[in-house]
Amino acid sequence: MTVAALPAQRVAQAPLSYRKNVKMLRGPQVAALRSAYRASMSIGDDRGWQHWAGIHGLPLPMYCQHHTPLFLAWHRAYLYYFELTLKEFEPTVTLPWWDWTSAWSHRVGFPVVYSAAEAGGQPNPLAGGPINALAQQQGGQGAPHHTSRSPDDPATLPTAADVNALLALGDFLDFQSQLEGIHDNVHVWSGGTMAEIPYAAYDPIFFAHHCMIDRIWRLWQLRHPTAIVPADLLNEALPPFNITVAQTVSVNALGYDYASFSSRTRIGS
Amino acid sequence: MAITFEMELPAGADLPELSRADLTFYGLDHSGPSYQVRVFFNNPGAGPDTPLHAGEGFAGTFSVFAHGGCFGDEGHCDVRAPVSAFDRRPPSQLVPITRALTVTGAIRDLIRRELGSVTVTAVPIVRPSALATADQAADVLVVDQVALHTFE
Repeated sequence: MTVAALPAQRVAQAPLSYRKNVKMLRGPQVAALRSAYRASMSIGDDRGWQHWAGIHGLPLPMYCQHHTPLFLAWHRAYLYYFELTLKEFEPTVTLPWWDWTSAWSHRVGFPVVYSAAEAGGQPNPLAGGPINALAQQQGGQGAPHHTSRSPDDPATLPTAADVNALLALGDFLDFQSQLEGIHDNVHVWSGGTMAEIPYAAYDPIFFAHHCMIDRIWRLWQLRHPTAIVPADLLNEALPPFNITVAQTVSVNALGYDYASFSSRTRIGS
Repeated sequence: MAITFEMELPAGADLPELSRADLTFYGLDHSGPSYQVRVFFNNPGAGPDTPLHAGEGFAGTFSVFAHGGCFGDEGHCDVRAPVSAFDRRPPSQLVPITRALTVTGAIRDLIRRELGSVTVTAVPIVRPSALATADQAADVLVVDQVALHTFE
């Protein structure tokens, strides 16, 4: 049977997007990711990078949820909405995840895709970026103008054993608290602007780190299908996003999932 | 500045085998620079340069990704109380936090040695960052209580 002989579907089911391991990205996928970030960084209004990076920290208000029961849900919503803005520039793009437990990360630290100073003869937009002018003003004297990194020894990044211990936990709040501890370790390990809440999200590596955190939550959900987010959290709103905790629980309902590698070829017209 | 304190350990003839032991820090401040806490057992002289080896009593480390200071006007970062029983605003983001460090292996070892208590030293480290310098470690570790919880 040929593909053309299959009965035509008038309305195709929307395919999920897959967030991929940054180490496994192919050249065109990296190019599309950089292109989307470049486009986002070139826009100064509320469609662009400066606006989206600023939602997490400065300028005030700092919307991010840290050390609260909304940590995982808020950051899932943040990644989801930011990824949609990137898709407006490059429809095939998804945010990749940085596996800081891998042997490769324990040797080199940050992924090369995010640390090379240049790409294709241009500055690499994934290596960092400028800080929003209002955020600088509110930060006062000494506020950074640009992102920076000062990584610790790569061998001290969290390990696969650390993550496996987390995945064995059966209670959502216990799991979330311990996962946030590992999350904090990677932020502080990174140093520079990544180590401080007000400026962390101005560094594109922030989103690759948080995809890894979100992926671990997804893996935990697969491992514990009957473990649920406490009912009293489900109706909580996640400002500034128009979404509740309940609406973040299923990644498939948000249109994505996690894979190591994924490529796609369009056959039909 | 490092803090040192004594913690009681479980003791007795019929102790069940531990599946997990958490050293839990309650009321940690996270309004200033981000920091790391290195925990040592029975090494009250431990400091920032102490090697992170079990032989030095190193039990584990955790980090606090923090707010880096206040960027509003005076009073902006004060932890406010509800103004009424109907105040549905979320709590301040600067309510002090709880952080549990899982130290199962080290606690098992101390119990096996039939020690009734352990001296815990918590050493704060501030890695230089966009907002912080290493000397801020002197003031960064503010904690209300520390508890040891063990589970069968």
